[in-house]
Amino acid sequence: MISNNNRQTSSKVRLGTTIVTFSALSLILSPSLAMAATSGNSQFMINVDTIDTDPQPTPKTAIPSPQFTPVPTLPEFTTGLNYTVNQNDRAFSFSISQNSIDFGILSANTPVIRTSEITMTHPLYGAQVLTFEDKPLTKEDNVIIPDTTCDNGTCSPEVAAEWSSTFTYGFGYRCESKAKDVCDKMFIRSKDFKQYPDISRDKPFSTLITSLKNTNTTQSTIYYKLNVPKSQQPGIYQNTITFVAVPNF
Amino acid sequence: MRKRLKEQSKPSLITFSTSPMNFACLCLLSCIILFARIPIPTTYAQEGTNLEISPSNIYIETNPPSDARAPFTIKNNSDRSVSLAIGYKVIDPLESANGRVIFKENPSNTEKEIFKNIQIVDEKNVSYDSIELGPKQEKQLQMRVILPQQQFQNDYYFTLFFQESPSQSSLNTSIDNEEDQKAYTSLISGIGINSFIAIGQKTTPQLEIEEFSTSWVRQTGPVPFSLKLTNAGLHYTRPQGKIVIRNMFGNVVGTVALPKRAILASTTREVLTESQDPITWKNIFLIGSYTAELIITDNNDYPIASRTIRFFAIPFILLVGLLIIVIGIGFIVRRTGKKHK
Repeated sequence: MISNNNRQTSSKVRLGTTIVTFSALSLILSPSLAMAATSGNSQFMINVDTIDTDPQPTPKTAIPSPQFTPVPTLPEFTTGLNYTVNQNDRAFSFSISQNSIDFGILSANTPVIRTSEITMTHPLYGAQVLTFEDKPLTKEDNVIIPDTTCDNGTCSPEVAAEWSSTFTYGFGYRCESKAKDVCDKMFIRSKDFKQYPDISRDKPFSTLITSLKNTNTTQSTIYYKLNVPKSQQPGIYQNTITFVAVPNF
Repeated sequence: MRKRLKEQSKPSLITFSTSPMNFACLCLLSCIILFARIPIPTTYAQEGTNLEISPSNIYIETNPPSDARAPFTIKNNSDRSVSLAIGYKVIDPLESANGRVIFKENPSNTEKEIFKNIQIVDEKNVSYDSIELGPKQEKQLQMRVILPQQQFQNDYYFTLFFQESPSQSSLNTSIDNEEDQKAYTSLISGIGINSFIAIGQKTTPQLEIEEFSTSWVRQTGPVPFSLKLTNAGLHYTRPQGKIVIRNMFGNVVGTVALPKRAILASTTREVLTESQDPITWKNIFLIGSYTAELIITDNNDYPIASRTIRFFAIPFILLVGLLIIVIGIGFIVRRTGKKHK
């Protein structure tokens, strides 16, 4: 009887010890949180919203299936006194995944890349998405982060070029098609970037996405890249990027 | 007895795990510890914009004086309200001749003057410079073109834009340390409807067939046709048409309908299918001489231009195969005949 009680007690002891050990090990070995990095002492504090450990574009594989509700069809012809209106082309829609990009606190020679998604359902003959910026990233006293000229100094709103060096500074973008090949063909290599056309300098819109094919939906990922030198003045830099969808006819 | 007392008096930690309640607590504690270590995303999904417009192109033919109205709908598919400014941009007809819109960088005053005659109104004739759309809201609007009798007869091509107004509220512009550099970019979207207005008396379209061709000799189908049309008229036109294919006996063996694409005034357009492929007769097996007659008609099916081309289909591989079979049979027959003799 005594030995039976002893056996039961010792098995419970073993189980209890195992659970405690497992809990302790999980506490020690499980990966630490990587939500934000904060360190400092009484004299300073560094707070980084997100640390970009892989500053190169990494395409996401998951494609969310967009859901669009059909717009009621309008009559093909509308006629009135001295006029005829023909409008038999079908509806189309355009969406961007977010309305702002937060690059966080910038660190010199550490490129930051952010992404957004563009989805378009096409009218009968395809469509295009045009883009431009209102100005370069600018702070209140008009100090700017210039648009990048890429590693070899050749990229512009019209021409894409490789940007991989951490010592190349500025702001630029690239476009990657998700389903159909709709992005500008200039972004052929994964590190090719372009400047946004600056409308304040009368630069014409850039064509970001062109779809001539009569496909239902196309999706693209836009990569926004920003890298600043040590000499960049502190402050809050802002600008606005516009995407406009225009149907073909 | 002493041993039993010793065991009974074994206390605390070990006896703690033997109670079922404590055992459950321990398991719960382990789970809490484990789940507490799983990172929870701290970034919240920012709501984007999703705009839908119908139709994508509006074609108006009008002879002043007139008060033309082209209805259209615009819908906000997102879960947040949007404020959309209404604007216009002039299309460059020469650069956009093949259907992909390119805007004029410096439009003339004449081209911009038409915008004075255009209003975006609702069914109660209330005019808008901008519109507010709530979540999932759809608005039915009209493009109203009011033209006086003395209006200059011309064509006007432009894109009517609905562009989101920039909102700074979504940006957190606070900065904790004055030595920090922070950057934000606002993303705004817009959507457009192409509008084509022909002002003046309706005239017969003056279309010229710039190019209508296919390869002269081919082995098999399908047969792609190269087709370019020039609009020499004053106004844009959306012609209809077909290609009728006849065999060497004059029988109609195929008909291909042309897509109804707009050809802007004084431009040449390559006519392609909706999927931007050449117009194609899809018949595979072809032999002999064929004629292809292109017939372009206006909206009343009245022929305005036509051209006929000829092509030959010689299935070389099939003929060579047949020839080999015939020679083989002849050879066998000859050998058999010799043996019988």
